[in-house]
Amino acid sequence: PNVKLVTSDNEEFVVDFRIAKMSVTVSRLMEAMNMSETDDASLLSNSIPLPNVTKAVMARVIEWCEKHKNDEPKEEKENDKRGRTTHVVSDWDKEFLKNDEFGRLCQLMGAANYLEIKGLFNDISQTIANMIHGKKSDEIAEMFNIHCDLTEAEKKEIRKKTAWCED
Amino acid sequence: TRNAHDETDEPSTKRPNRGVDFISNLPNDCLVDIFSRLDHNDIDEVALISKRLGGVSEISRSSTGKLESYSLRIAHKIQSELSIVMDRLDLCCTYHLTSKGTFKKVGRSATMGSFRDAQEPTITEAILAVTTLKRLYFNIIDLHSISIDDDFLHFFEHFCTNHPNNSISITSIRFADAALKQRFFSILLEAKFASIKMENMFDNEKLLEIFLKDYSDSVVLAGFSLIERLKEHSRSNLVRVSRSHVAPLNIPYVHTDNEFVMHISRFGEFEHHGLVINTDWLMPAIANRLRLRKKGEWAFNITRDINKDDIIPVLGTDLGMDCRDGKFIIRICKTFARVQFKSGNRVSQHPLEFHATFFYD
Repeated sequence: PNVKLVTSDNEEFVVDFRIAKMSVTVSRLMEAMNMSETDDASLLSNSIPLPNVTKAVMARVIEWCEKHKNDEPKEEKENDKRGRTTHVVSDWDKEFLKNDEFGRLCQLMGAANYLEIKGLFNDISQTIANMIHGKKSDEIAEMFNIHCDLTEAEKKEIRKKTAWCED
Repeated sequence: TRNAHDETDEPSTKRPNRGVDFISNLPNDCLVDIFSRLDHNDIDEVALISKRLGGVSEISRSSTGKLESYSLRIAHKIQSELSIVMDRLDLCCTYHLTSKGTFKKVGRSATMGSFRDAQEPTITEAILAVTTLKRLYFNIIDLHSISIDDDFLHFFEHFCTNHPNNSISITSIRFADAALKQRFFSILLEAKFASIKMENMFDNEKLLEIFLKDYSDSVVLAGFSLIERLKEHSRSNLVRVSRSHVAPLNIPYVHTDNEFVMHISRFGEFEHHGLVINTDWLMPAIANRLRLRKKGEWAFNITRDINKDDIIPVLGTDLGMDCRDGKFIIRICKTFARVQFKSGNRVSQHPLEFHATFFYD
């Protein structure tokens, strides 16, 4: 059975029920609208509005879901001994995310967050974290075009607060 | 008053003309998730990028990764002053915590530089420095020569809350009274240390028994090691005679209780040469431990030698047995999980030393 998803720019995507169920948000909406896998009429007569997702981003989300539709449900990974959240981005996912410019990657993350697709969300979050890790503040600001609204005096104060080791 | 033209109060970078700042437009929960995958040093850098990112990164700090490869020694130097020394294991550098609450490098561990120019922190300053300590994951924490009082416990409780899964070694500490000792043990249990090594901590076997039961309940496959250096005159007070065996006078503890032995079976590593376990209860505990499939070693004493008749009843359908050169091996069928163990006489003395090695390839 298929489910109709309608994006913010009024594009209709017809996807397999299993793909639709990968989004917790869509799942909840289908439940609220009494749409069920065994009731074709309910699926045909309804469509799920997704006002926070554009057509271009939705196409990428569906592409990711198609690849992962047969994945075993992953248990929430526990934090490692140092307390850090760890997630290994698979090679396929790395290649997949490489195709997106950074702006699109952020839109995709926003969509994964809104649609509650944990696997995609973790992949993007880890990818961005990996880009930041080990870099200095000015390098990060330059990489992401971030405008610094801190004064030198404020920076000095922050440095003083976070100082923990004198080499 | 601030001078409006003071250059230092101008934003330090101009907004780049090219490109759009997409990351700052992400919702807070996305940013918190990204930052929680960084470590404390990264968060320090993010704090310097912009007010918004800095603010959100602070929220992530509690779930941010700690910096690894450090060991920590905490000792009392003089009354009310603590010596808190950290070794960075990968660079072989030694740092002292100063009274300002920051670490100061004093040299390579091999040469150990001096620490004359900075003050050791008082207990109050050490409590304030917990935020500094919070950034680090310590491979080993060593408490040495400490007189435990209320103030120290206050510091230690703060410290432990931020250091789960570490290993701790406790040597030569003194308690002003029994209540403080009880509180100290409660904090240790609450902290869920991955392994605890102690020296001369228990003058009462009941206390040890309760502690081990609680510890095995709170941490899965924990490591425990207790070294006892008993004074000659105190030994006789500690001996308990088991149901069917007379304990020799040089062994302080005898435990024959099956329930207690099953608690021991939950330890990944266990070493206590003053402990005697009744051989009658041992095999089910070994089988239990083997099924948990983790590498580790056990060392304690048993009341008599182990023979095949002890082993066969616990094998069931999942375990098999080999005997090589007087050493028994029990395996989980169709896996590489196995335990090899032996017991031996110390010249004309009973009970026997027992040693088991668990393998899981």
